[in-house]
Amino acid sequence: LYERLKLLLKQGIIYDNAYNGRRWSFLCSLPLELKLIKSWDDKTMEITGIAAVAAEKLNASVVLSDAALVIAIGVIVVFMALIILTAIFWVFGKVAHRNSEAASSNTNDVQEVKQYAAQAAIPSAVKKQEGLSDEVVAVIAATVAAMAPEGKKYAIRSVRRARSERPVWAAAGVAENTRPF
Amino acid sequence: MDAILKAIVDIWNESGYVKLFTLGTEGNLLERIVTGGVGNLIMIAISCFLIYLAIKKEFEPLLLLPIAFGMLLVNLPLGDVMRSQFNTLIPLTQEELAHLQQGILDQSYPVFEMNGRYYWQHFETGGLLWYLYQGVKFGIYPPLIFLGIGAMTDFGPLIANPKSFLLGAAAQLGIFATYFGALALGLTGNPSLTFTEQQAASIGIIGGADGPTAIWLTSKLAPELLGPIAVAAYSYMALVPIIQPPIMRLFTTKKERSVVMEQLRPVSKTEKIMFPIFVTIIVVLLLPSAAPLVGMLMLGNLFRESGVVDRISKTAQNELMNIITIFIGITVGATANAATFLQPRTLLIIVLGLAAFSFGTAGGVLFGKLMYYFTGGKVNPLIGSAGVSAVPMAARVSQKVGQQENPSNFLLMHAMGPNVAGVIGSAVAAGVLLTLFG
Repeated sequence: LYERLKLLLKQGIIYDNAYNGRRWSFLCSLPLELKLIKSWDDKTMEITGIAAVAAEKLNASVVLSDAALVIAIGVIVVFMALIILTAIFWVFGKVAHRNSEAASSNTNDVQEVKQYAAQAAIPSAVKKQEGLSDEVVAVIAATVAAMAPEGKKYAIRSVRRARSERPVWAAAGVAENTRPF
Repeated sequence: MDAILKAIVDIWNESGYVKLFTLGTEGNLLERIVTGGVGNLIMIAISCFLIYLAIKKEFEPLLLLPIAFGMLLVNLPLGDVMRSQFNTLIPLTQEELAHLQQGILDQSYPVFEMNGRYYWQHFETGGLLWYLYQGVKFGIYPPLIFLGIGAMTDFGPLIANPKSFLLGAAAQLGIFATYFGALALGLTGNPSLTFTEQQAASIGIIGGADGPTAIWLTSKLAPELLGPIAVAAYSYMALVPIIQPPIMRLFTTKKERSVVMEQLRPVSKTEKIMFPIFVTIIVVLLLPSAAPLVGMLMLGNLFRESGVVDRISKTAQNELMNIITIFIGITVGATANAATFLQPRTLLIIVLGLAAFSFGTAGGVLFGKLMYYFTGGKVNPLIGSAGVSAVPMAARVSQKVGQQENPSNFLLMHAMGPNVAGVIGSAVAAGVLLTLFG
């Protein structure tokens, strides 16, 4: 019967109205049930013929193995797409990082920094926290000088180390303010 | 006097009020309820409840409000806002036939011959929402929404930490798990629990936590489920802060949750401009069916990052997006008529949608845990849950849960990476499902 149905299907005498074509590949090996499909003449609205359609019986192992296949394909494709993207942007990030490093080690910049450092005299009156060297103060002064608008002078009065962790109250304040986000 | 009274009674009888209190004529009680006016009455109550949720509880109001109102409109009998345009055939009278043979036309309709008889072909226009619905039916609106989302999204955190892409992929697990679950239900043999593969795939996509993607895929695979799926997808997106945290805590330890992540590196403008171009080329070549969604998302992002088309970028993320949101909301709501919505399977879809969300969250968190081990504790697994899209709500949830363990920990930007990767991931997953079942 299956072979005969397959032949009829091939010849276009019976047609698949119950499932999509994909499933017919399982035709030979599976239990089938016959369904009758009526065909209509659209103009007269009369039944012109009845065709027998073999439909695969809902079979647990087929449904589940099909579904498992879909899951496997789906997960693999999704991961593949995103792994390719990960790899590309990882490489991209490395290249961009190297470029920016190359740019920052440019000798012109070093010259400029030295120039600003020279401009920024270290006032001895700077109040320093213990453990901070003059170099640190010099760097800070140079940075301020570099960022300051042309012709303006700034004085550094005190330098102290920032706390590495937020004090509890400050953290609570930040948490409070960022809660809506 | 009698004539006036009769006219008033006639008007009353032809109004929608009478229709509301009728039952259908065929089938069992449930079928009679859903096909009759009482079904509409129940749907009106449901839509009013959704309007309440949107306004009072602010559940995704931008979408839920138009959806709920579309639902209300379509369930008012005789309003016909969703009636499709069609042709009716009116037989010619003997007199008209005689005129026709003499070459005189009484009406300006085309004449149609069928089996030796002649008919006027009378064209009836459709309802307003039916015309707007074509944008959903042909898959036009969701990609346009994606254009706006692309213009609003900063992919910087993802570019700075490309590993986030993997979390965006892992969180799509819910889609496939739920697809499996929906199909497995069919094995019980109960016809009201049986879904076709297309329907199962559409239910699964709720787990992508991305409204436009869910609408796009469902309109192509199982348009008959559009109403319930859209309502489920948007309701759960609003409920992300309630659904996700318990799952996130279940799969992580206190130590993992309090991991403080390294600050993200700054991302250059060149990288941000290259990103949408690369993603488009790579994803669309791999999965052509995802082209409309991914293409539009990335075009919107290119508008934003290129910095030379500020006006277009602003239009895409504001005016265009708002217009399409109105259209998509009201027409998707209008697909929820009583006969299709008041079915046991609607409840089932809502339950399966919850499962999809939960599985997706679990998938992301578990993959985050894997990354925690592989990086020697540098990755906080909480950011994995943001891999379901739901931008930016899911990222905020990661931030909140992280802050409960360590108030000075800021995971928000780290979670934005998987979050925006999730948008790309669910578009890719939708493309896979469309390729397999479309």
